[in-house]
Amino acid sequence: MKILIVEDEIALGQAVMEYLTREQMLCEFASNLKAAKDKLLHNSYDIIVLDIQFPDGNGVDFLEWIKMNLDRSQVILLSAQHQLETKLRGLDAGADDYITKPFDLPELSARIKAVYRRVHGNSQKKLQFNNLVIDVDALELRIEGNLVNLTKKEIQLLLFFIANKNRVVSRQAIANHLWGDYTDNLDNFDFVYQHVKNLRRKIVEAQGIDGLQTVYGIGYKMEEVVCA
Amino acid sequence: MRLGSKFSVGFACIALVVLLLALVISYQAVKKSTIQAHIGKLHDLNSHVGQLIATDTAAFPSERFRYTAIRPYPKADLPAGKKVRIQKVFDSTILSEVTRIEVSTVVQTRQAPMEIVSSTRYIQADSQYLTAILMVFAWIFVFLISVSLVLSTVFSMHILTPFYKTLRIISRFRVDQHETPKFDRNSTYEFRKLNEQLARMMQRSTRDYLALKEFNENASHELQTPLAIMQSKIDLLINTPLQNEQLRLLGEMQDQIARLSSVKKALTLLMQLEHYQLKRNAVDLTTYMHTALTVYQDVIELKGWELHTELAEYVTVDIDAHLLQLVVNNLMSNALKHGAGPFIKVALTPTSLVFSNPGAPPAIDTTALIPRFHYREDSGNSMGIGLSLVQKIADLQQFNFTYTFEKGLHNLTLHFF
Repeated sequence: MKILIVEDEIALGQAVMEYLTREQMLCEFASNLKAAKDKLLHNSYDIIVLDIQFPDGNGVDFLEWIKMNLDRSQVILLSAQHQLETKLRGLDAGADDYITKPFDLPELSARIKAVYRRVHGNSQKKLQFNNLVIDVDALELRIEGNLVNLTKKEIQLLLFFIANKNRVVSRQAIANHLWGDYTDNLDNFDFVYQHVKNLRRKIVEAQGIDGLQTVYGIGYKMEEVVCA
Repeated sequence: MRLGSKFSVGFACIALVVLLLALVISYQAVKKSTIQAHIGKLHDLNSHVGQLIATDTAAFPSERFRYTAIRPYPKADLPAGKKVRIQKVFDSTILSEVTRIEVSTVVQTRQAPMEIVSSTRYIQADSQYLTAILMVFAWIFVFLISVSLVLSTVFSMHILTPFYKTLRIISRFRVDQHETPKFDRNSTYEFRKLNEQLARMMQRSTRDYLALKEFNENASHELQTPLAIMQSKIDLLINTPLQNEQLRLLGEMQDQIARLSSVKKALTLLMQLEHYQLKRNAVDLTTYMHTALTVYQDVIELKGWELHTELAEYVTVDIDAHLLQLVVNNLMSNALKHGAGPFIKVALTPTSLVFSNPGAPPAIDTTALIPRFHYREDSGNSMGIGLSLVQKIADLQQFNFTYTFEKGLHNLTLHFF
């Protein structure tokens, strides 16, 4: 998966790049729209992570240019603005997803994978992880062929873990992923804890291997277990 | 009251005062001129008699001049001119009070100075005059008023047309429009000035609005970016080999960053709401609430609580959908945060939306509602900013937002009308 990060804040762009590179994604970085255009004209990318405010232009306008000239690339807009109009304009202009700063890197990673999956759908409709098989469209988990009865939130949580497998995912990132748009300042961590506990119980009861570890004080990590 | 009617009323008042004054003056003038006419005639009579008796006082034909008498004037110095006496006397022949006018003139005859006194009586037409004049003026008044009414209607149609046009433009004006509306050229000086000033004002507000918006966006960007960088660096850091203690510290740091960015988000929202342009649409609240509440189902269940809903059917309200989401989120978050369990009740009626949760009686007066950043010690780090947001949105939508405490329930109610 080839990714272009267009972000005028170099420190942020580098952090994103570093994180995504560790996820086995091929990342390139452009800090302004001109550089981004150059790269886009010479290479092709699966996904473009695009900020909105640039000294040399507006990301949404640039998005329109991308959608007109490069139909292959998917775009995830990145913005500091909570304003609905910007979001709507971005989505109207053909953005595939929209994420507001500050965001958690695991969240961005999960969104990139989701967008990628949507486009390159068929082959990856079924996600395999350890002995868990997830139907991404139907949101179903099967272990050894048996359907595991998970709630919608639990499935979302599992997908989020898998999208960030072998990485520490903070409970903050999980809370934002599960409730980000809906709640502020809730005592979300209790809920995260309970969701994780329930998910784990259900997987273990169905003889599944979750590879889930609690990382003290910060969050969780789901590890791929190499089955002998 | 319309401007035309105001003019008419003002005009009527002035006309009434002027006409009453004119009435008094005319009445006095007519009255006076009657007396003057009598005095003039008597004076002429006296002159005539004076000439008759100038040579011989005995030649005065007293039979002919029944209203004139002559008598010797006792004093040596002769007064010039005439002396007039007016008095009311009772005339027994007609059994009525009449006005008696007496004019006396002193002339020098050959024999001696003689005083000629002529008098006459007449019936003064007091009330008759008054009635007659009053009638005349009353008719004039009626005529004036009807003319002014007709004219004011015609005038307000013609002259005020540009004014109503301006009014329409103002009412349609929105600061978030990029172009300011155009006013027509106008031949009336005042309207022209008004339009010029309005155009200038609108341009200024649009400019100010855009500047403020830009500032907000920039501020948001400037704050959000460092937060995003910090957050992403922590995400990277926790995936490096660290000891438990370090991870715990990072976790705490991350929590504080999250808190900071949620405060920032809320403040930005509050700021945006100050200049928010409503996009009202008829929203089917019943359906919306059914969907919206499912989002919280898991959280409520995880808390071991229950969600009680009483949603009236087919409730449609004119509301901005984006703001509605904010309202529901904040009210629900508030109930989840401050509620004591074991349930949250959401009731929707055609006129209101109520979130109720059991809890301890409020420490502050419920009418002193929702000060921004009100700190509740019992609830940790929570802030009243969520409710300020709801209050702000209610103001924008011209809804009423109330907080009551009844029978152990905290009720936050949004009244739509």
